[in-house]
Amino acid sequence: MPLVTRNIEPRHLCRQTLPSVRSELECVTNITLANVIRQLGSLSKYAEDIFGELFTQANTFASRVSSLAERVDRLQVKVTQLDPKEEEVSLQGINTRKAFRSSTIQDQKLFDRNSLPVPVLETYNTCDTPPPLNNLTPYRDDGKEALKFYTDPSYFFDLWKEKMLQDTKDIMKEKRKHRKEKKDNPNRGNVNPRKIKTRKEEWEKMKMGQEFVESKEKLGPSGYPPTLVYQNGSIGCVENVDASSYPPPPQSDSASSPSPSFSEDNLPPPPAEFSYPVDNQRGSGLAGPKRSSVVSPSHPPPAPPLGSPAGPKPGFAPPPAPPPPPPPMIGIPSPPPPVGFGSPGTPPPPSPPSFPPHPDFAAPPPPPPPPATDYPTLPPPPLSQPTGGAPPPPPPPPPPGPPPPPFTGADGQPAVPPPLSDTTKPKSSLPAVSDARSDLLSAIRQGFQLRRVEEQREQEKRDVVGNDVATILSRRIAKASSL
Amino acid sequence: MAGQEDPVQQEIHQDWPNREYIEIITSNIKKIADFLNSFHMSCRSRLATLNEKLTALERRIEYIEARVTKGETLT
Repeated sequence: MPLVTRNIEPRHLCRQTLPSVRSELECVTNITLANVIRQLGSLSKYAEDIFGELFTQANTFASRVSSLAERVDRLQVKVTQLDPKEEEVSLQGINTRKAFRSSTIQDQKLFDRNSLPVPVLETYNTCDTPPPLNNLTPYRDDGKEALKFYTDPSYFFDLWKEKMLQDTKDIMKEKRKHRKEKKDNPNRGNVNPRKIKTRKEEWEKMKMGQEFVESKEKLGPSGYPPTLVYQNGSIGCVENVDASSYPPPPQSDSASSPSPSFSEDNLPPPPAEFSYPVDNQRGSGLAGPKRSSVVSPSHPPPAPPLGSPAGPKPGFAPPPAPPPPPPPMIGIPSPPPPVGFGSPGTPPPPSPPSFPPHPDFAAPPPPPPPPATDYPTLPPPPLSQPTGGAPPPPPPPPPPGPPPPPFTGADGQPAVPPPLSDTTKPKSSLPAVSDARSDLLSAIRQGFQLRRVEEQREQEKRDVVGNDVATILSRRIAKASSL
Repeated sequence: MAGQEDPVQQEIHQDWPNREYIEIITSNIKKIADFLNSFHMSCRSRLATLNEKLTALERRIEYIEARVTKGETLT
């Protein structure tokens, strides 16, 4: 629906209910004349707006022209001084000088709210603002703005940005694989040498006459790309095209069929991902903040349409109530069971009583009194029990020695090695033997920590460096081309 | 009946010049609006061509400056 930029206001001059007067025709005439005057008023307002726009534009151009004139003058002077003097003879001069780069600023955000013309902006402002849902934001657990579930103007950009970043990561991985392969097989030589492209085929095709050259194109779209029948009866095959079709490969005719299918493959996955994070969230009650933030743009929209507004809230309340384990804990109850079953005879699966705050240190001296009894009653109040059951909770970095990492929001995986090593520790009882294992433990912990910190830093970097289309695209193309 | 028609007819007859007057005014308003629109469009297109030429000139001057200067800083 096209929007009119400037609408002259009293649209209908005499479509009004008339007051009860004797001379109706005169009444209409007067009303019409009054409306005409109002129309003239709005017309003059718009005329002023139009001329103002043109004036500002012309002014900017005038300033640009004047600066250009100055530069030309200076250049003129310089060039006249330049001629007879010494020239830059040395070859080193050519190489050492910085090469000329013209300014590569790309225009961005052309159709932004700021560049909207004023009359259209006024029309836009006559609309209702969205409801103040952001007042509910402090009550949300996952830290997202509440208004984003109602209307999110940055949704598509975020989606595209994540896709681009994902693609750059994939490109980096492929790079590493290639490097590895090259490293691993330095002696292999060229197993798949690229085919030498000769013009022989083209000449052969033209041999019978120019009219018969279309045979290759005819065969392509008809669905037999891999084989080509040449004029003299020999059969050739079309080369396979690279999967990475972001800058389209030069063989456009054979590549045109695979590349659209590839790009279409990319698109279905994002919509398909929508159902996954929603189920994830519903099932786990409160998705951990890290997990949901990674999936962010695909997450918000499905939630509202799939559940009625009242739906998600009662839905969330019950899951938390019975098995209280906050989501990070969901991973942890599963490792203790295997540990428990695997070593029933060994002194208590140390993890259960003390796992929420520190999954690894139940081993400490006070043999956790009722660990066995704790275990079945585990689900209900995991938090209250351990604090009662293991009095020296926080403290004493016990024998194992490695500095207790702040392992509060432990994920499932890191919890597995510690409990296992914990069970072995009490066996060998104390410090001496467990040094190697503790070193391994500490290395593992640091490794996991490192990865998390790296990810955080990467995210921060991403947010800080460049949040616009041009930088993201340029980064991706740079990585792709350096492959 | 004839009596009724006469004053009414007279009124209607007197009304016509008013309507004609209003019609002239409104058609001229429309002409002004048309003129403003076409003026706006033609000015914009001319300014856009100017802009293109200016940008091209600026780029050429940048290049020439880079060629001519020997590492001096341009003011």
